[in-house]
Amino acid sequence: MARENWRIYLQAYTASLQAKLEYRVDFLVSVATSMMMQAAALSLLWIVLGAVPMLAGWSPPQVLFLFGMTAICLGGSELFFNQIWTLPQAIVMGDLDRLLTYPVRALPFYLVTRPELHAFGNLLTGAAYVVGSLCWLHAAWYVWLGVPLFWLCGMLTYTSVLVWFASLSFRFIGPQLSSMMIGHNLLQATRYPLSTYPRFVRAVLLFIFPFGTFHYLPASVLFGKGAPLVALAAAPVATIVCLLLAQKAWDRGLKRYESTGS
Amino acid sequence: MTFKSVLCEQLAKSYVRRLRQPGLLGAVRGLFHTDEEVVPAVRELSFSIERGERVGLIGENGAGKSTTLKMLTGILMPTGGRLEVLGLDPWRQRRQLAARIGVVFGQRPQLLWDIPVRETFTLLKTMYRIESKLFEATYSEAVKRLELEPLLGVAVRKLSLGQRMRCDLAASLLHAPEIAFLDEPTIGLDVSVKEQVREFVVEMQRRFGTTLVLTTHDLKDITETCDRLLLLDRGMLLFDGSLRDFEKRFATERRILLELEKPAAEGTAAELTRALEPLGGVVVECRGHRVVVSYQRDGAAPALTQCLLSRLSVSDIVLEKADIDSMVASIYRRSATLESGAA
Amino acid sequence: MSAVSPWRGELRAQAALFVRAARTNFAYKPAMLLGMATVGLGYAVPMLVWKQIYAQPRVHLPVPASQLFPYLLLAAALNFCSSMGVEWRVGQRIRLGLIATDLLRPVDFQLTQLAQALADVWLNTVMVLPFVGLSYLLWGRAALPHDAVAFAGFCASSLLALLIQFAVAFIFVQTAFITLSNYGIFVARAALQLTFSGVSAPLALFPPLLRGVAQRLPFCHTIYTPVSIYLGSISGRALVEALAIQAAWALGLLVLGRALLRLSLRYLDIQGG
Repeated sequence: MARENWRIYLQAYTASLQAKLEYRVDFLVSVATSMMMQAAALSLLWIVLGAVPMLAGWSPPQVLFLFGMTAICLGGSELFFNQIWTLPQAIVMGDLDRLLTYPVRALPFYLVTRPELHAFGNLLTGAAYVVGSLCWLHAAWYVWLGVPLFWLCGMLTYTSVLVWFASLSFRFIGPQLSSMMIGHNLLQATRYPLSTYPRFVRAVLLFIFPFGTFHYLPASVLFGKGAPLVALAAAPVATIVCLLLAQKAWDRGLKRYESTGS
Repeated sequence: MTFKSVLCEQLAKSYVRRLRQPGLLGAVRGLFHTDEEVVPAVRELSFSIERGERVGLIGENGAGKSTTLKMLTGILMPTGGRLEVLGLDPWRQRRQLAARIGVVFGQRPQLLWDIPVRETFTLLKTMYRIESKLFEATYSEAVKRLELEPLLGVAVRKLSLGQRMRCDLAASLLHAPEIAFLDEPTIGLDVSVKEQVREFVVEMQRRFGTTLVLTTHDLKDITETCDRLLLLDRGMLLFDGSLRDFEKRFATERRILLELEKPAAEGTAAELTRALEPLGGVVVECRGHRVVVSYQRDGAAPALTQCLLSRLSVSDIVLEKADIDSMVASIYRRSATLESGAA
Repeated sequence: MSAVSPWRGELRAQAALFVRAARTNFAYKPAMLLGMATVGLGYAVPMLVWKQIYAQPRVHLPVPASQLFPYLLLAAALNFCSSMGVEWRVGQRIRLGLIATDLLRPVDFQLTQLAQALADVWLNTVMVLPFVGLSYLLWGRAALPHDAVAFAGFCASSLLALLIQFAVAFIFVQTAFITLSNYGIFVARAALQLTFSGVSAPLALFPPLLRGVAQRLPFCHTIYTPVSIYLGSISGRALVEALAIQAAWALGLLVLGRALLRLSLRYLDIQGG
């Protein structure tokens, strides 16, 4: 039984990233557009907070923290695993053939070989929001420590959900990205505190698409909103479950892969 | 103890197709109810390949050659039958098998990244865990024979088809695999590049004892690199045997080519057909200055030639054996009545 | 070459493409269902947030809840309807270098793309109708067009809105000539659309600075204007003015898109040679 060749994923990723970075214009445009996107999100918040001082019991800096965490988790996924977005297309074009002839795990290898540069825009602005909000709140040192952990959980959970949706493309052939957009929109919905939404929605965003576990729940604990300490553990648990389901979805999908040509 | 490199029994692959109804109304109806049909791409394929053999798979588009190859390499999951490559199940033990085989796709040579060729090779060295010594040997051999030196620093994206194909070929054989699967490796290439590719494949095969499984439309690929031929038609095996056997069995067709002094007149073709039929000749072409007659019967040549020379003013005459292309074509014409060769 | 006028031939070709694109869209049933789920989602988020806001005590807003919620639903529905795959289709063709051959075809490229975009819209509309029905169930009279004039105005306005949406996407997608990031373009335009189109709130609720900017951009005319006309917030003389401005934007942007395309091809490298 062959040992897992971990080095190859990192090597493939860095090679792909290097290649992308060579396109300087591309890089700048990507960063610029994603910063625009983050500014747009903030303007939405501006409209909302123009109407009320607090949103469902969350103060502006607290909401800003949620915005920031969402942004960096999105950015993290885009930076490392963005190739998932091209899966529907790749399936239709039969581009997975080559990948399947390599002695590597197809899913992680596929994910890492197309870093998306506009991730930097999301990461920068997101980091700015997180840092800004935590400073504004005079957050304790352990909150700062938690951020990288929850960032990791968030990236992986979000990517896993995208993989679930993307794997539908194996079964339902068609150049449609709308299913993955749902995943994306669900993540964006968690920019606002989940207490804004009715219980049903909150449940979906905590138990089915567990995006609330890596920022809303920890923030509820750490900003003193009365959530129990154990809620912090929800993030890593959710991440692991999601990753397992993602691999399963991918494997099942491959069974129905048809490739092209005859 | 010998085990076969490839062993398949009753291998089959079918696809489920949703039937689309014609017209706009049909499309809307299609929203509520879809008919499905099962389309077999490969049916009951059985053959085996020994180590070191050089096998060519030919067939028309839709015959199932690429599908078969993709099942052998673990890309597609078979819907029936049993398949073993190097003693492994390609679908279940894909990664294990992948480390020991090399695959080239002619129609889509994609080396996956926008990075320079040299770096791709280095990446593959890590991926296949190629020992430095072996890597040196295969790398330098490939670069030399396929003239890759000027391409090493270029990003894969910027290469022409022929260049990409050569790089892809080199890349797939860097780890000196036990079996090399080549899916239409020479398609779309210039004649000179085709030659290069064939020579390289033969040389690598000779040096490392690689088993070769090749699909192609270009029969010259087969005659120059293979010694065994598998002919597929609509997912079934029509012929399985050595090239020699193939020629012996099917090269019964011969041709007479005539250059006329004057262009053939209107009724000449019909007249010739009537005259040659009892002698066993078939007029294949009668146009302008050129007449081509084919015949199957042994010993019919003298009578046919005499008949033709007496009726036409001929400036040149050539007798030739049918080439492998036309042999294959005639097989397809007679496919219902063929028996498969011994495996 | 037949003696048929070139326009007639072109129209026929466009119609054929329209039918073909629509057929392709309809063929993917699960895609349709997912699309409907996206509509629901798109509506739900701003609606829930605003609901929460209105639920809080001592809140005074220029727009009453009874008017806001139908607005939000209709805005989301229209937004979904007008999503077109322009960035995707045209972007791919640019990235793969196929655009050069497209422009050699006897059929006009921009119009072809418009036809395909309209096919998308048609499909989307079918999916969104249940939600419009839902709004009537929820808010009764307030969810219906204000009057016949409003309805007629809405029809004209939404057609113009679609043209503007298409034209903007067509312009944005040309950044594919200089960047490989197809998704990035989509996101950028989506961001602007999200902020300035009025899909998340009518302009009356915007902070003054934001409102000023929004009124000068074409985006508010893709959602805010048509929906406001429908609900009667824009009527009479303002209605006519709004339609005129929309028409001007539509025309100007379409022409700009064509000019830019010609320019792009002449001066920039086509990727994937």
